[in-house]
Amino acid sequence: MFDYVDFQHNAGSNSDRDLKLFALSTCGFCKKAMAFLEENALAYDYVFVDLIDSEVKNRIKAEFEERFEKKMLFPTLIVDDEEFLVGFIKFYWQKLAA
Amino acid sequence: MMEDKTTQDVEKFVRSVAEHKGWILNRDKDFIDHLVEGLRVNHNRYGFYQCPCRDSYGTREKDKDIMCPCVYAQADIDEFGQCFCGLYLSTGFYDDHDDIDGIPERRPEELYPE
Repeated sequence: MFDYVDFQHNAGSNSDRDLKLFALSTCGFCKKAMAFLEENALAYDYVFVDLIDSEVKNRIKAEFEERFEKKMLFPTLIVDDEEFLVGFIKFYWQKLAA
Repeated sequence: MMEDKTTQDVEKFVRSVAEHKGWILNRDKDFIDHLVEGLRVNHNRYGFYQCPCRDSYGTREKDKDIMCPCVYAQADIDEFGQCFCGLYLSTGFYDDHDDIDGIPERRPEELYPE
């Protein structure tokens, strides 16, 4: 999924799962989500969708909606292209670090 | 042409909103600073204080429900003690919580940009 997206990569010692984070550069919970991933040494790819070409942004949202039948909110973390976490609710995100 | 907002302008704006509505600002300074910067960026991008935590059409007409403070903020503060961004809190919630999580989105999906 999302092969056309120019992700940034954040290295971490735990790369067991493929993590793709879609975020807004202006959003507080997106920042918290990134801090959580980094504190837990989880490797992840990310993109700030408010800073990219709007056509690419719209393509991302359309692909997400087609795959998961939900509108994309931010932050959204896609795990192994199979499931996703939306919003930063630490209880759910902690399962990634278990 | 509209003059760009400064960080101080935005800080004054959010304090004024909180005071007027009887809300309180989150105590996490890094978090607040990030949201203030997000509101500043959005104001200078779009010409209005668009919610920094939601995708935007970039037009006042279509984003009018998510101009800060958004039309969902009071209901979210009443139900969860915080607005969607975590910028504004109820006083009771502030007293009881050192840290906050995200809350469910109240904005109807049909209002989201395609």
